[in-house]
Amino acid sequence: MSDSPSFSADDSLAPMPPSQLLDARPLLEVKDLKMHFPIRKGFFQRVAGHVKAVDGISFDIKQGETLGLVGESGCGKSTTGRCLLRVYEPTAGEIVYHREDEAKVDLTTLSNNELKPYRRNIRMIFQDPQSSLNPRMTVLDLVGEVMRVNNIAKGQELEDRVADLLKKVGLRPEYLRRYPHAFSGGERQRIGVARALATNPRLIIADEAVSALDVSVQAQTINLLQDLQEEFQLTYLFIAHDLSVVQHISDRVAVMYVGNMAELAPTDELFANPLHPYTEALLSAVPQADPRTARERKHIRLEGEVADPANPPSGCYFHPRCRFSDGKRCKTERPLLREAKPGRFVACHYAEDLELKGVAQ
Amino acid sequence: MASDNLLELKDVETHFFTDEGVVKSVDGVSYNVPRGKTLCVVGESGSGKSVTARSILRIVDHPGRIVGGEILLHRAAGESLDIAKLDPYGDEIRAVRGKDIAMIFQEPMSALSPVHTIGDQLTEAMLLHLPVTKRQAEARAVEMLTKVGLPKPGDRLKSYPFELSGGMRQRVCIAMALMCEPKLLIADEPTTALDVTTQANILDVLSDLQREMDMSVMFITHDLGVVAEIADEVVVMYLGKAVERGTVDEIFYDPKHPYTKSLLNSIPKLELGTRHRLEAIRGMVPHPFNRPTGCSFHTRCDEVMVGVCNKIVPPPEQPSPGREVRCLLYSDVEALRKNAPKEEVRA
Repeated sequence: MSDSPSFSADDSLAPMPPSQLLDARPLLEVKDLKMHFPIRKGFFQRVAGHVKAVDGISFDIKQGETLGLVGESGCGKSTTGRCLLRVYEPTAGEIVYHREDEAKVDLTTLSNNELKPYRRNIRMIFQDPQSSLNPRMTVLDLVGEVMRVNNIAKGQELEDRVADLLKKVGLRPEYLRRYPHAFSGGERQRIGVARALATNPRLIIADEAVSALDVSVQAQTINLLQDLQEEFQLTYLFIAHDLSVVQHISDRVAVMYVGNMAELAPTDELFANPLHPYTEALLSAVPQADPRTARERKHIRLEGEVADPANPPSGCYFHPRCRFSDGKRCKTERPLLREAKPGRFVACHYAEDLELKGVAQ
Repeated sequence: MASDNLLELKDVETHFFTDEGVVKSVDGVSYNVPRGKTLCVVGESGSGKSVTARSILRIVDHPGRIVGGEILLHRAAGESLDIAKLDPYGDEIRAVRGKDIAMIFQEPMSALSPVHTIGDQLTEAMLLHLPVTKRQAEARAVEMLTKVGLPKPGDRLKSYPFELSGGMRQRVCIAMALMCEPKLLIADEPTTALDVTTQANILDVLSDLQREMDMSVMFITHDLGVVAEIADEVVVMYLGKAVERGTVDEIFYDPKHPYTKSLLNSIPKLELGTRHRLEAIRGMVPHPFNRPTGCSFHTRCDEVMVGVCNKIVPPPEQPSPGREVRCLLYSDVEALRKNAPKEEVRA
């Protein structure tokens, strides 16, 4: 995106052509990432098992794109986001970050000190703007702290830069010395966005960043995120459970189920023509704001509960709830994520043979 | 037509008397809940949709109380009960709660008692309201749990809420609400805390049971997708007022009020594809102590008429039978201006 010509106001919002997207250089490559949390029991806290929150997923995030990460609660999407920042120490796997000078670094091998410069480049926006802002800090401190810690700015310059950031996210610079309680939910989320932008990052991990907001404020925030992406050439990993929001904002979408990647595809193709039965069921469950289609639509309902990541089923984790399960191969052999069609990755033995329904475009 | 309505709200006003001032959470709301149908109440947070529902059951928290209006419950034998006049701690409203009108809440974990078994919680209301033995009530509980799709319902009576997942807990809440076959079920954002797949299953259970038991459902939500799936009729609320009501098709395909229009435009739609710009409503929901004069939406409205909308409180207008909208675009402004003084004073 950095070498593309300047955008006019209109075509800047046009979707990136798929060819350009496939060619774009990766910013982050995740290879076989695993995050297992030990379950401890008894007086001596012996390890009785592991919750396999993320169990060997691989994907890449390309420069300038928005990758949506969706799935039901407990599927490991937030854990994945946190592993990328090394908030959690991943059990296994590689996270290869491509620096601006084109050198590659595996973030999992770095010590805390070595990691510091990269933490400026990868930032996070959290779900709940209420609890992610310290109530005893002013906006100046909340947004400015990270610049002070990273020796980016101090004193008057720091104040100016924070004021500038506030303007960028649509808040008045006069609010610099106010505390979070003086802001509404949408405004607080804007402070969170300003804080993420403070170090001039390249990748922003937005973990359910708009889920807690009202519809009208949610629309404002989505528009803001898209504007900022254009302005600063940001790359987003957009973690959310609301599929209509994800479809709106993402170039590609990754679907997770019980710590595994079920499908990864360009957004339009995934929604029009899903390859994994789980994706199909997920799309079918999304309520559509159109009473006529809602009445005509045939629903696919998933039976049973999401599998327990501490004790997952054999074979394909989705087979107990899958309407296409053959009871043999699906039960014994775990499907690997493979490229079924160019640019479309799916983890299902029968992806090519199934006729699945997407959402009509 | 009045007999078709189970519940009629007329100019209900519920205000909260806080130390900082009076918050008019519900400020003159009128709508009807039709028999055997689903009414969806839509609005952003702070629009007063939950407080209206709580006013119906008289469970508004202190320092809030109903200061005006009528809430008429039409019972079977032609008698009507004005709930707004009852003592919130009296026997009469207790006879209504759980029997005529039941409620499910957003957060199933906090709605269930953590220290009582599911069986005890399910049977409590029934033992209170109906002349049944404990054994009969338990049989009924198992029957209801089967209906809401809880696996192994017989064994579940002895389990505690923490042993169940979120979706299962919400199923228990639904079963509990329906134990006494209420005429009206108020569901306050019952699926907001759940995953889409679980939400779809819960909505299915609700609509199946509604058909089977022929009850009215009042469904409070902010998710317009859910509204399109389940509603027969829709009420749109903004800042304590019902700004528009109509059937689900009228609201979605022929919205009248500018707020309804912008609300519909501000949601991402699956069929529109990626990356069009969302038409956000500008500004924020005003602070409760600082409500705009005149029409409360005029500060954010795209079709605002300067000098009119900020002066006159829009009266309810009926553009077509069964429709109601509170917007001056549909009113005779000149006539209002002539006898407006008292409206202006009120604003």
